[in-house]
Amino acid sequence: MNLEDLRSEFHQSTIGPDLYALIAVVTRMVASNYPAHKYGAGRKWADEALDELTQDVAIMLIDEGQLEYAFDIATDLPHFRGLIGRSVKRVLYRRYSSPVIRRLVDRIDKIAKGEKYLREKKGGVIWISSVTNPSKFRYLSDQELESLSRTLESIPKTVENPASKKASMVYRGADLEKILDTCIQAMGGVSRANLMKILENLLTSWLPADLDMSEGYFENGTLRVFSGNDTQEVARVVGVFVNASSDQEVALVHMKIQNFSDTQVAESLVISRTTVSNRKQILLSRFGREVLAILDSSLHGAAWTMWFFQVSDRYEQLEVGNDS
Amino acid sequence: MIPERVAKAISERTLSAPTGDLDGVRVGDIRVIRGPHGSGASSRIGLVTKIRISDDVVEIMLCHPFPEMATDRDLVVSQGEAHANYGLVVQTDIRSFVWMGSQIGRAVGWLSSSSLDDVDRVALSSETLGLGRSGRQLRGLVDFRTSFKNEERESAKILTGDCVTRLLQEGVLSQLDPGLFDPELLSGLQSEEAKYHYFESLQSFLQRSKGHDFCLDGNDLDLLSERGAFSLQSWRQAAGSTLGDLLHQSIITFLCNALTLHADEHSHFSLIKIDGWKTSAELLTSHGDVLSRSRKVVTSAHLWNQGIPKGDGNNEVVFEEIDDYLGLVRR
Repeated sequence: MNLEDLRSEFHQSTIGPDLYALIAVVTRMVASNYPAHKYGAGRKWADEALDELTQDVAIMLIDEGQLEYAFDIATDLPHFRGLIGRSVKRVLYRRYSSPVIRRLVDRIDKIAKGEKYLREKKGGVIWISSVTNPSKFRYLSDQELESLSRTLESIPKTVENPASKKASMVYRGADLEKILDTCIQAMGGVSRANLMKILENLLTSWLPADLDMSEGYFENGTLRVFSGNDTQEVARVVGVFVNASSDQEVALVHMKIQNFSDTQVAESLVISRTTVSNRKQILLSRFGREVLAILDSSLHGAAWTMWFFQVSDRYEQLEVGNDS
Repeated sequence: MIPERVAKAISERTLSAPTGDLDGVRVGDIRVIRGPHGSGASSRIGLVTKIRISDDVVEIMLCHPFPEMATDRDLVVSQGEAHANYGLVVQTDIRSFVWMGSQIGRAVGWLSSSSLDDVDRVALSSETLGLGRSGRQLRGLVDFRTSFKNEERESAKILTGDCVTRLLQEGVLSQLDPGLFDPELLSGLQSEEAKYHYFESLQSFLQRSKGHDFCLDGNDLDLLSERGAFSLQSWRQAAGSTLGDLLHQSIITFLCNALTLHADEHSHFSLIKIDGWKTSAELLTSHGDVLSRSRKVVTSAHLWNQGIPKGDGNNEVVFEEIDDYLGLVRR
C-alpha cells in the first residue's frame, strides 16, 4: 500500500478499509506514548478504549477536512502518517482540555455563589452579575468576548509540571475571582456559556507539557528533559534554588516566563518597574551561579525548564497558603 | 469494517466546490506550495498575497489548518470563508516568496477581498476582530505554540529559501517599514534603559543589514518627514541631546546610503532636503511593484497604530521581525 493507493481509496469512499486500518495503527502508536488515566477518559488503553479513540480521530479527520489537507500536502506515506499522528494528538489534547475548562467554570460558578454576586438561572442559562449593580441576561457578541479575552490575558496561568502527580489548577482562586469581576465590570454580567468560550480561548496557550504536538508520532512522548539519570540531580539543584526564593520572587519569575512585561509584573506585585527589572537581573545571575554553574552544560536546558515548572508549583502553593 | 459512527460522519461530509482547475494564479488564491526541486521539502498550503509576473515570483503567507495553534498574528478562516474543504489559519507573520512556475500548485480555495482586508487588519493589529478570528499573543517558552511557530518559520525557510536567495542575489529591493525610524517610538518608552536598548537594537540592525538593499517609497518619506525623523530636534526631544544626536546621525547615514528613489519621486526628495539621496529609475522599472505599499515583506506597521500602546517591548518585536527576515534570506 502506498500513498497513491490510499488517495485513490479516499476519492472513492473517503475512508475505506485500508485508510481506516492506517488510522488505527497510527492512533495506537501515538496513544501508547501518553498515559491513559490522563488522555483515555479515565480508562486503560485496552482495545475498546483504543477503538473509540480511533473513531474519534477518524471523525475529526472527516469533520474538519483534515484528510483532504493531508492528501493535499503529503509527499509520501511517512509524511502522511505524520499528519495523521498530529491529528491523534489534537484529539488527545481536546479530551484533556475540555474537562479542565469545565472544572474552571465550575470553580468560578462556586465563587459566584458568594454574597457579592447575583447568580440567576433563567431558561437553563446561568447569568452572573453583581448584587450592587444587577443586570439582566443578554447575549455577549463575539467582539465583546474577544475584548474580554484580551483583557484577561494579563492574568497569569500556572504551568503543568509533568513530574508532578497533581493536576495543575491553571488559575488560582483569587485569579478566577478576578476573571469574574472583570467580566461583570466590563459587560454587566456573564453567563456560564460565555465563560466556557472565554476560557477556551485563553487556554489556547496552555497545554499539558507531556503532549508534544509535532507531526512525528514515532518519538517517545515523554518530555525529553525528564529522561535519564541526571534528572534527579537537576530537580534537586533547582529545588534548592526555588525553595530559597521569596514568594515575591516566585510570582515575578512566574509572570516573566509567560512573557508579561516588567510594567505588568510591577502592577501585579505593587512594586516599581525598576524594582522588577533589578530583581529579575539579580535572580538570573543567581540562577547562573547557584544552578547552571554546578550542572553540566548539557543539562542547562533541562534546568531552565525545571525552574519554570517548580516555580509554577510554588506559585500554586502560595494561594493554598493564603487560603489556609 | 468501518464503524457506524465513522460511516455516519462520512455520509454527512460537506465539500466545497472544487477549485483545482482555476486558471491563472490570483491574489487571494489558497494554493498548494511545492518544495523547491530537489530540496526534499514537504508541500504546504499558502495564501497568495502578491504576484510579480516579470520575476516569476509569488509572495505567499504560510497557512495551516490548526486553529488552536493560532497566535494574535494569525487570521483564522472557516472552511466556508476559505472556499476550501478545510478551515485555515493564515500566518501573517510568515510570508515570503516562491517561484510561480515551479512551486505554485493547484488551488484548494480562495479568500474574498473582505477576507483579505481582515488578513491586513490582523497583520497590522489595527482592529479587534471577533472571538476566534485570531489567536492569543504568544506567551514565551511555556506556550506550546512558540515551538510550533518556530517550526513553521523553519518550514518557510526551506520552502522559500531558494527563491528568496536568488532574488537577493539578483539585487531585488526589499521595502523597509518607516515605523522603525519614528522618534515617537522613543517618546513612548519610559526608562532611559529602554531608550538605550532601542539605540543598541537599531545599531545592531543597521550593522546586520549591510549588503542588503532596502528602500522606502515616497509615502514613507512623507511620513518620516511628518514624524520628524529627519529632524535633529525631534530626536533630541525624544531621547535627550546625547542619545538623540547619535540616533539622528545613525539613521540619516543609513537612509542616505540605502535609499533609492524613482525620478518621479523627486518632489518628496526636495521637500526633505537631505544631501545624498540617490535616484534609480532603472531599478524601479525592473522591480516596479516592489515599491507598492501594501503587504510589505518587512512590516512594523502595527507601531503606527495609535490604538496599540507603545510598550517597552514593541521595538524589540520589530527588530526580531527583521532578524527573522534577514535570517530567512541569508540561509
